[in-house]
Amino acid sequence: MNRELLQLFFTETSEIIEAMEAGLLALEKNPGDRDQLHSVFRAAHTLKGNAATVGGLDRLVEFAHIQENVLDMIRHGRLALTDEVMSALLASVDALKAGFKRLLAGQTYQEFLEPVKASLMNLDPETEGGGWERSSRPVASAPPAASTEAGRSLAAESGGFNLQGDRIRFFLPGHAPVQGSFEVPRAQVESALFTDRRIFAFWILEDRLPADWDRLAFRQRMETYALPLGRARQAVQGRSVDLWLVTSVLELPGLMALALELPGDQLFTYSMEDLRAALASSPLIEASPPVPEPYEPRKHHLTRSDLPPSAAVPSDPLKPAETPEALDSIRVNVDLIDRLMNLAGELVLGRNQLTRLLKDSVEQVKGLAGLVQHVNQVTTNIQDRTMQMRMQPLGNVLSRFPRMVMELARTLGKEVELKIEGAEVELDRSILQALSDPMTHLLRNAVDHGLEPPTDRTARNKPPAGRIVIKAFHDEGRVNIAVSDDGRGIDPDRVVEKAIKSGLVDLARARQMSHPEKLSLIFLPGFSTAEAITDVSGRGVGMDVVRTNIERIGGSLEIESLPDQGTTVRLRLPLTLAIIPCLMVRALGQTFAVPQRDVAEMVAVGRDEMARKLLKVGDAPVMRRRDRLLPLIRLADTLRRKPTAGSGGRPRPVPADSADSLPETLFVVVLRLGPHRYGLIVDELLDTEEIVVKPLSEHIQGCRFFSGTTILGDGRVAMILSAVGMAADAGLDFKEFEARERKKAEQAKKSARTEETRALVLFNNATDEFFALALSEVARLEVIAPQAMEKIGGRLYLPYRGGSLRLIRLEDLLPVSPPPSDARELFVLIPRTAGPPVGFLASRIVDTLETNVRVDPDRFTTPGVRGAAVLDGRLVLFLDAERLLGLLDHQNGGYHGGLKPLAHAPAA
Amino acid sequence: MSSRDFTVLTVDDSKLIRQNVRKILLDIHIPDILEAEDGQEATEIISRRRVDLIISDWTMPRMNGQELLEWVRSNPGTLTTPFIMLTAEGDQQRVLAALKGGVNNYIVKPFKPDILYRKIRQFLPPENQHQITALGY
Repeated sequence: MNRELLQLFFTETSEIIEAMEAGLLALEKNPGDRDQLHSVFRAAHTLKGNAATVGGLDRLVEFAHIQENVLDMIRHGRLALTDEVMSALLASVDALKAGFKRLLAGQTYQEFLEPVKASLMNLDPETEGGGWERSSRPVASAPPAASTEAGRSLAAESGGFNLQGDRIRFFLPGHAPVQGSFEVPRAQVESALFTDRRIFAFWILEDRLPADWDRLAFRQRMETYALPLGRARQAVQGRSVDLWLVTSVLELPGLMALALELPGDQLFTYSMEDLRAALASSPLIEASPPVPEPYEPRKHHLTRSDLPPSAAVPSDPLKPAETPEALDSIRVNVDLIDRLMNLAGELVLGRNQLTRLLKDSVEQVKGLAGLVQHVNQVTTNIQDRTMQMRMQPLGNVLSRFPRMVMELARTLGKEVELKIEGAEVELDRSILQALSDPMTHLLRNAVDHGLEPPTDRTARNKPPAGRIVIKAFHDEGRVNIAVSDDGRGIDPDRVVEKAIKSGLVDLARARQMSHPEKLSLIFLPGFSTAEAITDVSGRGVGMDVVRTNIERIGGSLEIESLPDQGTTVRLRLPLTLAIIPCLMVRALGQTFAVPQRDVAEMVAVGRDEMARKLLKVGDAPVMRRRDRLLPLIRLADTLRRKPTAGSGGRPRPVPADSADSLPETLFVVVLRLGPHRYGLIVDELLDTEEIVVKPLSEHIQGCRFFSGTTILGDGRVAMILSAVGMAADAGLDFKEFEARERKKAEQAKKSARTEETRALVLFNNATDEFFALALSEVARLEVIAPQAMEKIGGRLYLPYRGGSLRLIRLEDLLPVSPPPSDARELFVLIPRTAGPPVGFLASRIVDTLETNVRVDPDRFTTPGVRGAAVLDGRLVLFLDAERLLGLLDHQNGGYHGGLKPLAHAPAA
Repeated sequence: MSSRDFTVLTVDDSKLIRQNVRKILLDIHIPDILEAEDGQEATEIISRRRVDLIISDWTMPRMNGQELLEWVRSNPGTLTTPFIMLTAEGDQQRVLAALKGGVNNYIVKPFKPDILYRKIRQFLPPENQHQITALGY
């Protein structure tokens, strides 16, 4: 049983149980409703068949069988649908539900079924207790091959056959009261084997036939159920014996006896396995594969017409119901939808080409504009609806995980609670499929490496059962899936250690890395293949594969981890892959597509604004945009594979490039990359277009900055740009950006502090308060998630560059408001100080600006504040970092913000 | 006839069973598999398309397998179309009724691939038969 089938079983079974319950409830209201009765019966029947198909669910099969029997008795009027019966049936559905839930969770389920099973069996009016066994044959445990097994044992007694060249002689078994044999052409036996027919022999003693023996009826039965191979009439002790050798598709001798209405002891069969083996071991000289005399299907319609209609048509309890469950949904073959999807894609391409072609004619031909508009709309609609059809709830993929996780946990001697939120979130089928493996991997890692054994957990004051949460939700047109555990977390320093050992990163670079940077090393290809890595606490195994898989479907992922608190891996996925709206841009005379989902905004910077908006942090060009500084990359440079950053040590601020090479207007597409944003400089912004994604050809699959190709309206090919790939491949990813910023800041530190005009960072916590620090005073600026902070002895720390950074709340030192408690991200301003670094917390960076404003020291006379000034109508407090830290000294007897190994940090 | 145009119709109200059959058939390179949820839907498909083999469940809503069988055997276009009935264990009377109705063979659920192969092999184009042999059945 493969995975999909098992998954299908789980989803279908919950549907079946629901249908069963709904049917029973309807039946309770209206006990005479035959249709409902049939549909409940069918539900039990289907459940039985499905469970048996899956295998290993004997108790469930048996239970469904008993339910089916009870319902069958009701259908045939052998059992009245009394309140007692109804409540037993309802209880049985409840038991099924509970049991199934347990089964899903990979736990034992039988105990939920057993008590109810007994009460169901007691309903049978025709039998007392054990009498049930009559109808409840051990179906559940009967292996599929049971029939052949039974046949074999019978045939073993029969003594059999022997091969004589191209003929085979069959004997009646030695213990049979009559004896005789049949000689049959080998080809006929081979044909029987080929058409999967069993060979039977039986004898009829004329004078032992019952009085009402109907010769004609017997012949008809023979014709219906068997095909004669041979017949012999002989006289035994003066009695006339009729011997038959026949083949039939019926497998069980018992069934054959029933079909022919013969006493069982007059019927014998032969082991088809033995026959097969015997024929295979002595092939005929020609040794050609058995040429089947294709068994001409008998003219059944003739046979049937010979029979009384009642015999041909079994009294059917399931007369076509009027389908009260008028279905408002149908199941459609996935292939069909995929094909439809492709066609919709072609239609979109066609429409685009047509629109372009007709652009000039629109004004000349009357009514064309409206028509084009209409076709446009319909096409878009078709595309949308088709896309919807392919959407499937994430639950389809997630549903098999509870079991997998439980089984894995059991193997590893761990306890796990798995919680799934957002199983109803819908995703395109193709994405769902691609998600299955990475998710499996993440969960395996969480159980295997993330969670501690129960004893370790107890020792750390954690509940013995580890907790894994899968949470899915929609956000910004993407689907987010977070897989978190509350295990031991990942030690970033050990990750770095391993990365250095594996040669993935050098020591100098590693020293500069922040906590998240270190963690993200585990996504590097080659990290996981390093032999030594398996003992790294936390993840690491195969994470590069996970990343590759997720990026391949246009997703991105991040990892967060706090030692001893657990690890969270966040996936961000597109809703669909097939048709996506894209922004078309131009660079180097080529057209490129940028998926709309990656575009945060578009900015045109005029020449007059360039000086103010384009700066350099370190060597990296950045753009000031609202409260953020965005790193910039130039698409043309990326394509030419030139490093974006100049090597100049110009004083800040400077334009990103020398003024004469700048165009009138600089077009910047601001791209979204998880929480980050960066600007992509393009030559020209074109339209947005719905494009049909075609995969990259094999030859250029190595180019990470392309995620696919498409065919444009004019028939030309355009590459689809990948936000992730470009950031990584342009040599200006965020790590780089931060590193440069750091380096530049260090240089600036050495240069003169006093400037005529000062660049300021304006930030605040409450909307009506503003603080300023000179940009030159700020060594670094970090964006953090509030959860990343650790509170140790009443102080806040941030795991930072292998140590911990003391964080300072301005409201602790100054009479100002705290940041909003629901802030999703916080900024940490790390001032340039003589002592160990600390960070100021702020909820918002309002702006960076240059000013020569005079600070009035008298406007705000509080220690730690240089003074206040009004900037753009806002009262701004100019902070004095050194003095603020001095205050801290006073309050707490020294500040300990230094870079100190985490291992030595006081325990929480 | 090659496997390219050999079409199988699977009729079962359980998607699980249909999928199972589909998988088993795909393994021997039979890609043309139509599916119906009940007899009614099957008759609609058969009326529209040529079907070379029918594998049908017994118990289904609207039109059950036996009724479908009757319909198939009274329809001039499908008098001899191979028809395999799927039944649950113990449904002896149904097996006999199905044989009377003219099924070519029957399969007791649950079944393994080799059982299905054995039962349908004779109806398949040679290349699919070889495929079964190649799989070692």
